[in-house]
Amino acid sequence: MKHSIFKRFAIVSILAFVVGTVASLLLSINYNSNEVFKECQGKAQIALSEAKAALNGESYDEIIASDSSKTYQSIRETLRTICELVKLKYIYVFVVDQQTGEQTYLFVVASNDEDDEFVLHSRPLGSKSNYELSNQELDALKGKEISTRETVNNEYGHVSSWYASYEIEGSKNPVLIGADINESEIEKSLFHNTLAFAVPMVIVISGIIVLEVVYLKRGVSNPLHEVSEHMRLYTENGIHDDEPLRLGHDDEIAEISNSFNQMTKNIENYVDRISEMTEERVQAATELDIARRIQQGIVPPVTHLQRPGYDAYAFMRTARAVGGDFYDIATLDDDKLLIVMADVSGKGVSAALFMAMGKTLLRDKLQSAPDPATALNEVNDIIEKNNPANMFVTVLAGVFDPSSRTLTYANAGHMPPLIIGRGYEDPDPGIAIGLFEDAGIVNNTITLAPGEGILFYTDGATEAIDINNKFFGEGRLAEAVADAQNPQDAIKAAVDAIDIFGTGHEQFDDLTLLSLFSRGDNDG
Amino acid sequence: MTINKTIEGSVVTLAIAGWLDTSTTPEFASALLDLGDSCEKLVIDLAELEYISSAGLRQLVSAHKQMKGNLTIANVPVEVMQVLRMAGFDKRLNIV
Repeated sequence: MKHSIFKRFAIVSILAFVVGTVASLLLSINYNSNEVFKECQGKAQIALSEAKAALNGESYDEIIASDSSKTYQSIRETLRTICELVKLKYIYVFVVDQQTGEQTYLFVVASNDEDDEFVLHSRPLGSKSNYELSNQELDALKGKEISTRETVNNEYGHVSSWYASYEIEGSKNPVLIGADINESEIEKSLFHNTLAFAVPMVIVISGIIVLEVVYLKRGVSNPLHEVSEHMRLYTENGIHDDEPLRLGHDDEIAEISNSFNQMTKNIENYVDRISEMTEERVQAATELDIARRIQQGIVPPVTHLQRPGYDAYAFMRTARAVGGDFYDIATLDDDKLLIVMADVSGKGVSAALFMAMGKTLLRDKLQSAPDPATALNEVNDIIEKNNPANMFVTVLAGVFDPSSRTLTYANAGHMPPLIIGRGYEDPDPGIAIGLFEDAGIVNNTITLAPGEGILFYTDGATEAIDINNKFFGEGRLAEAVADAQNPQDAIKAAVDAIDIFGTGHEQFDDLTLLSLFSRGDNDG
Repeated sequence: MTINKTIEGSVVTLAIAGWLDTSTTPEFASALLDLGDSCEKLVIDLAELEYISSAGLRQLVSAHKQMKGNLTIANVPVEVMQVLRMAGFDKRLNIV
């Protein structure tokens, strides 16, 4: 579950609201109860002094004489009026016997008719009680103008009482006047006052909290949402937002939005750089792949051609980086065999295209020209005229006549051929094709004994490298194939020896080998 | 591979040491481009050259053509000379 900062703040705010409300209520109750009690005491004081005024001038004997006397009725009526006006529950007047402490009631009135009826019967004139006087009553007897509040809960109800003493004519005993206010009245006014104080307080507190919440939502929560939304879009869709994020004013939010902008800018730069690099790599890989396909399309990996009088076998293995080797084996119209071994300088697509052109031209010229040297010189003249990059191809091309077992061949800057079991030839090396006018390529002739073979190869064979960076070399190549009896065995022996030699070191060049064995089986 | 360049008047000498192959030839090519018009005669000293590939050979021919023949290749080690001879370049390049 997501724990939103905003939600947490809202919860804390609600807690603060509750605490604030409770605190303000408690404060209000504490303050108002004092106020309400003061107010009630004021009422009681008014009632007590009014009651004193009503009793003023009347004698004890006159009052005690009869409750049906006009005087008694009149005073009682006045006391009830006071009671009603000041909103008391009871006013009562009683004499306290100084010796015995016994109470003799003169008047007991209630504002409420029902209550008045009740006290008229339960506390009639002259009725007595003998309870122990409370401290507040004793204080009043001692002459205090008005006692402190006393709460009483009995059959007459739950009330707060205040007392004052009075001296009545014709009695040696003091008189106490009591004023009772209904406790529920006090509670009601306490409740009203508390509300009157607490409600505005709560409104103010909640107002502040609401303002804070709104500010937090607008100033913090919304911008954070916007930042995270931007981040989400950015990572999901890689959307380049041309509009930079602008949030907050000189605060932490503005800092976040600036950092975000900086981050997206950096990421975009990185991504651009990475895609540039990737593109380059893909391009390089594609180029190599294209070059390899061209090369493999021009030259099959293995070719075996067996006719009366000869047996020829060619093998090519392209390296990872793609060199420019190619070979060609073809029968000519007059039962002769054409063999070509070549190595184009350079690598990649340009070398592969150069190779394609070279192979086509060579095949064409070798088929039409009277001898290999003429063909090679013609190809050189064509290529040399338009070769600004100075690419070149070394070529060893020969035509084998099975009837005479002679190989007429021309060398244009290529490795000399190996007569298997005999040694390397040392032909006149013409200049590699493509660079100079008049390459000066000449014909050479070898006659192969029946069963004798010759090997054409490229520098992928002699320059195979071992783990000590040593070349395989001509000597090892000649040794490897020395005992071969047919072209397939010769090539297998050479490839095995080269692979064993080069174990543990990556070979960067193509490996191309072509072997021709004279059979001498065409004569009859 | 390292190239050491010395200039004496209008004669520039580039001494190449190490392996001159596909990966190092571009450096040789840019050294040739940097020669400028003031270079009337170029000497390429191969005394310290250990190996030359077909790419290196190509660049030698390019240098020869760029200098319109005013290129001398000097101090060629035996193994490198074999390669030059095999490709037939000894017939056209001025090797001393």
